[in-house]
Amino acid sequence: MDNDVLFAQFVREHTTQLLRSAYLLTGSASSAEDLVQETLLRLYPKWDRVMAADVPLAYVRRSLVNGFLNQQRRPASRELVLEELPERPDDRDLGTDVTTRDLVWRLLATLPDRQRAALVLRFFHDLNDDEIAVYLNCRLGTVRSLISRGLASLRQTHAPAGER
Amino acid sequence: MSDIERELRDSLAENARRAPAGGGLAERIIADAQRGRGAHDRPSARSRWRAWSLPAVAAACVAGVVALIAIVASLQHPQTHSASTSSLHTTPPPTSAAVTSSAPASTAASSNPATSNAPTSPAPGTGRVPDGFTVSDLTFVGSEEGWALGSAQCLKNSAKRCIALLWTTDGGQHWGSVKNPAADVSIAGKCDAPCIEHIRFADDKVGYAYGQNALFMTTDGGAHWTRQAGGADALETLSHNVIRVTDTGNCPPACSYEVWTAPVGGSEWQKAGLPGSVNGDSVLLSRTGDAAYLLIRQNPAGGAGSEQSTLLASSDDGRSWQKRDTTCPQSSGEIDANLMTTADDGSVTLLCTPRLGSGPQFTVTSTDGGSTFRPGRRQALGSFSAGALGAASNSVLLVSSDDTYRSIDGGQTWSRLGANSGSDPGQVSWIGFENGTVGRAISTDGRTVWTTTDAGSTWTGHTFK
Repeated sequence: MDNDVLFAQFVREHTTQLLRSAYLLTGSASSAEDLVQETLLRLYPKWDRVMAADVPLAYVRRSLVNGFLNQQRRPASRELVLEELPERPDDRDLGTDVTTRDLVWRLLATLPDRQRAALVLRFFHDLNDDEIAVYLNCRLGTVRSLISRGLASLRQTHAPAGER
Repeated sequence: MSDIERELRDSLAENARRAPAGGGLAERIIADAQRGRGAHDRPSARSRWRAWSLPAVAAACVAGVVALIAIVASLQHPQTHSASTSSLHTTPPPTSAAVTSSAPASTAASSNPATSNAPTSPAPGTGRVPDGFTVSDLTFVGSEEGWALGSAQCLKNSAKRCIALLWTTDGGQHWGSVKNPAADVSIAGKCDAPCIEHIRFADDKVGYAYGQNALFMTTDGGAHWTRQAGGADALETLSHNVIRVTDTGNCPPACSYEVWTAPVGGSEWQKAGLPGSVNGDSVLLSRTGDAAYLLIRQNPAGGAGSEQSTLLASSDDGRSWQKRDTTCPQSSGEIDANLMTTADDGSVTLLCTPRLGSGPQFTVTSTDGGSTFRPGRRQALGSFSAGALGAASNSVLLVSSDDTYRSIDGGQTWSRLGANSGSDPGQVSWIGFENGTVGRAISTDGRTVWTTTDAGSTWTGHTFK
């Protein structure tokens, strides 16, 4: 089967899954679609390499995460693209209709990109430290540090004011 | 696992479900990649870095050498210092310019609020509306839920256009992209097989996308589209059944038509009984209640005389058909029925146009199943042939040529919509009514969907960006 056919099969089968990952990373539907588009089109000319991977979806997802981090490194991209503004709950007015999960989601958007990516890979994709290190192209200790600092930030901003 | 870890896990799982469904994104990516817009013509992040960083490094090295020379020179000749510094400042800062040029337009655009009347939020579970969307065909099930088939830029900033399918659940105020059949759509008369041109939904689950040589069906609201055998020249769903018109090939100009029926969502088609062979150049199908009408047009662009359109009528959901007498009253020269529409009250209206445009156009309307027709007054409805005909009832009719005209007395008198209100849809390519008050129209450029809720008296437009 030629690469065009394999590419089309893969895209039709996995676009929805990739969009989920991209949405959790970018926080925006339109940015997620852009990220998935750019990732797949970037990989298309070397699709035989993708298909030669043990798990092609993992290969593409790793490329997607790298694309996200590279994109965020560009100065013009250093803006949050959340569809809703993240509001830090400094006033702790939890009488609003913002649920705890919404709150966590909004806080997640305020984290540095690599911390956010590490948390998504751990707590959505259930990857272990070794696997995340491959995704983020960093050492094991860095992964643990990213996750630890990310959780600490969430815990600190999420906790009631008196507990901080 | 700590509370925050559990909450994070739950939040991620919940928000993943809110991610866009992808809609037609997969097909657009495939089309764009295979049309040669892969990474080979868009540099990777690394190569973009190289593109500006190597000159920057080179410039920095040159600047460093110059600075070193200047420092050495200034130590030896203090009076030359200012001139040397000046020359350094004239060196362009390569990094700032390069970074600015690599700003991703997509991210900037996606974070901007909507600035036009483009959708502000898509329907749940759908993707964003692709850029440059233009409508080819519309279908609604009820006054709120509908689909728009059309084409759009394959990807952001792409010159190529691809098929796109949109969905609305609020009567067309907001639209989102949903999965389209794996087919091409006709764009400026060009369309690769399998080619679809029209979309029809019977209810919120079962829908059809079709063209002369292709037919796709979904039974799950568009999540999956399955190609059916053959194609359709026309297809309409109503009353739990589908009527499909096919041709036997070599068409046009010499089309020999057949009519088939099937239950909605079914794949076994029963051939309908026709009164002899039905030949023509093009066909229109329209339905209301149990009644269905088939208008076979012949030589619509002129040619030999005495080749009038043929009207067939069915009163049993398309299972059997009877030929009706010539519906457009003839006078000097041949007058042909070129457009047809049905209304919620069971009436059928045709637009009669003198062959070669030699005279005013007029409508004829039947309220007895096509047995007799009441002609409207012959009037110059605009400066050229009408392209769209719609009927809210047997008395409220709309015709669009150079503008949209409305009659409230069955075509006896007409008023130009623009003269009556400030919400004139202008020239449109299609008009359709879902009931006696709610109707839609598509602008001739395909970018605006017009909606009326008062039988075509006033309209509001939704323009895709």
